[in-house]
Amino acid sequence: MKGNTKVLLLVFSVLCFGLLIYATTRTESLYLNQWLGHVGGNSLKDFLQNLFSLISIPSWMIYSLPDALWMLALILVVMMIWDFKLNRRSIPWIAGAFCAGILFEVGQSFHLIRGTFDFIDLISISIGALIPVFFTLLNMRLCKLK
Amino acid sequence: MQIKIKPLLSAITLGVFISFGLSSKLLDESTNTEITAESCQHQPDVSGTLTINVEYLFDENQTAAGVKGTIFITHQIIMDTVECLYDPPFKYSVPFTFDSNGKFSYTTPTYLHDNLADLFRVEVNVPADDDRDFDGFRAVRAATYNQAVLNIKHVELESL
Repeated sequence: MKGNTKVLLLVFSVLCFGLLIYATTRTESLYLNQWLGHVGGNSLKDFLQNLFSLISIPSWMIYSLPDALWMLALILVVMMIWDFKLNRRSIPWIAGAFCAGILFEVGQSFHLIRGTFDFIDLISISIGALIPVFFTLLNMRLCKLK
Repeated sequence: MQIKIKPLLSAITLGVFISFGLSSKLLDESTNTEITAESCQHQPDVSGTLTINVEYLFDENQTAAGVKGTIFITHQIIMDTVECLYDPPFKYSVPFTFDSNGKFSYTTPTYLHDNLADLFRVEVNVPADDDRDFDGFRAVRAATYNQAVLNIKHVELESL
């Protein structure tokens, strides 16, 4: 249970970081940023929008990192549900979560989903999915060695 | 955790995260809210203003008088002409109300451009209003280098 709390805190932090990227670097036309303006007032919106205005942030951080963080959080939660075990029961769900992320991006290339297909987004989503899987495999191997 | 609950929790998690994704992809058109430049030739300095004209018609007899909307403007200036990278963009919004003719005009402060890829990204958002029975619209345009006027016209009925 204690371990799950840590995972949930990590997931919460990851999602908050993604939201921070949206709020500070993306256009005001996003619903999230309009909502922040309604909830926190113009002062909060202006504060967030100006927070990194003088720093040149690489475009992959602005546009691709939120996708990776979303995927990372999703895979972490699914793996937490399955006790961080990779077996025939858990793998279909983990693979399904990964496929959902990939389909979002691929759907854009076929104009099924709004937005622009970006290969870097695809790589980011894959990295976001692979990080928790990699650490789980590493942990499983270490447990076997013990 | 009960083995039977796990698939249910997994499905719920997937549903929640997919709805997060859809809310940004489908509703927000959030991808590439800044425009990327593929070529960025240096040009002579040019100074001017950009006038954005927005027009919204419900049908041939009815204009969008009194309807409210917002123009989101992102001013992008090339910083690196080798990699075609922009300075951190200057973003601001202009809330507006359509006049009796269903039109609104806004003129930007004076700009100084020296590159073909220096531009204004202009997004107009007019939310739908069920009470007045119109769909609203979103439109994105770009005005590059020395462009002085940008016209955005939306007609509710496509047949017009």
